[in-house]
Amino acid sequence: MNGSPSRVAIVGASVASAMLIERSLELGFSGEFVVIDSDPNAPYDRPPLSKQFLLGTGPVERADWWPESVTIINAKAIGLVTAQRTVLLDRLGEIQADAVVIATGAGSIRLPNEPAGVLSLRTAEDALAIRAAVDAGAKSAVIIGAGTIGSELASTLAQRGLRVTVVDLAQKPMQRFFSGHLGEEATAWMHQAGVVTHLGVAVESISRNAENWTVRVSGEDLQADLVISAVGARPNTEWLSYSGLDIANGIRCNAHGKAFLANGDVAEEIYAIGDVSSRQAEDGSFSRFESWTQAQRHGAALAEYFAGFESTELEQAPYGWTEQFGRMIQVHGTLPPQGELVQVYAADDRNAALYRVGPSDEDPAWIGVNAPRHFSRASMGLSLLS
Amino acid sequence: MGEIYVDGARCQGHARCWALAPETFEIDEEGYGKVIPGRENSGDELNVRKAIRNCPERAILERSDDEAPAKNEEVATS
Ligand SMILES: Cc1cc2nc3c(=O)[nH]c(=O)nc-3n(C[C@H](O)[C@H](O)[C@H](O)COP(=O)(O)OP(=O)(O)OC[C@H]3O[C@@H](n4cnc5c(N)ncnc54)[C@H](O)[C@@H]3O)c2cc1C
Ligand code: SF4
Repeated sequence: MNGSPSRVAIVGASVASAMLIERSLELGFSGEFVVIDSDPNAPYDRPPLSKQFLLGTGPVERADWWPESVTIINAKAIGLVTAQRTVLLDRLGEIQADAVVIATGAGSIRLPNEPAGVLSLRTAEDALAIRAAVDAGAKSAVIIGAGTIGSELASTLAQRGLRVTVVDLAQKPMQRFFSGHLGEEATAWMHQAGVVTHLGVAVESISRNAENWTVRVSGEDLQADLVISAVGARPNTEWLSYSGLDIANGIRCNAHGKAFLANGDVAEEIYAIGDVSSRQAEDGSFSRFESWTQAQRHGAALAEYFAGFESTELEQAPYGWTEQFGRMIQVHGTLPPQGELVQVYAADDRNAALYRVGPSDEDPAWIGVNAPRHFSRASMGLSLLS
Repeated sequence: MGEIYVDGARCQGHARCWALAPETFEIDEEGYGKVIPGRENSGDELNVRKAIRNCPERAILERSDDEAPAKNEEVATS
């Protein structure tokens, strides 16, 4: 037993913190949660923002999954007095608690010298701005970054009838998501949908002349009505600069989510969950995920830790997905970059395929494309038949 | 636990529900989930909770006992 804290301050009304609260309540937690978020639209799910949301007309979907009994204070955390477990706010003073849970997620990386007016996508407001620009008649877009969000945006905007060009320094779309696999396939999906790709090239400049943008890559000028930067996210830790926490790349924490101080000690009753946290593995290395599923699991695992029992949440294999170009793509496990990729199932009429990646003897990783049934059976360790 | 159902308008066919609580959910060829008929109130509660949490579309819903039954949402249960 850890002795569950009775007043818990949470910074960030996110998927991770919603799960921490929900699971705690399920486990009989009787204390108080105080939640702070600077985004007036929070809480909401981000995955739909690059997918269904841009195709529709409705508002950002209300989070019916947020625990009803917990209200959210709309303020920005600007500092943490670690030893006192006190969160300093930009307005409404400060909040002192028995434990502080940091769930501030990540924010879009902006390009160096990025001119004003370049769009990006992390928040509801960002998504509304992109949709408004398309609704206002934008005919073409240059997307900088071919990660999952850039690729999903390319798919969605092409579906909305825009001429889309994707530029990335990487040689392959979604190089990180696929650990370098399926690059040719993903490029082909884009081309089939009419998306133009410039891969393996750097952006030299971005300029604007009235409503027309020019993005210069390898000496070529790409013209567009919109420029969207989707070059990745970095953990929201600026506000922790003076906290004494170790924020080298995200908040370094142990396997339970207890934060480390920069001097290597564990900070008393300070925790981090979700995209902002960088977790220590058994071998001592740290890794940070940007994953909805992993954020949920961090929240559930911390609730179980508070309740004093061994959590198995984080023993589950990672699960990731992306939806684009008419494909539901699912990944189970950690894809080894050097692992051999073997196609074990295909149905070309549905653009469906299942790939095994890595050693076939022990726990392989799996990639499913439009093959949820096969993918699920494989990831459960069942045979693919039936 | 109240009655469990899948909102067919939200479900995008991740088949996570089936992977996590196979005794409660089944999926069709496209991967769309539904509750096995007769299992709406039964099953391993821990697994069902896990499935609810992990559904990326938040399509698995729970009707509390006092709530009015079935709106038009329940299109997945054929
Ligand atoms: C467009 C888009 C599409 C995505 N699609 C997928 C997908 O298909 N699959 C997938 O697995 N993942 C996807 N993701 C990633 C996924 O959304 C994130 O991994 C997940 O949201 C992380 O949750 P979190 O709990 O860490 O916090 P976040 O969702 O990042 O929320 C953090 C919250 O903290 C608040 N906050 C930050 N700083 C402060 C401060 N100083 N004071 C007060 N509040 C603060 C923010 O306002 C925010 O509400 C997508 C992300 C985006 C942006
Ligand atoms: S209910 Fe959720 S988990 Fe189940 S198939 Fe549908 S989207 Fe996937």
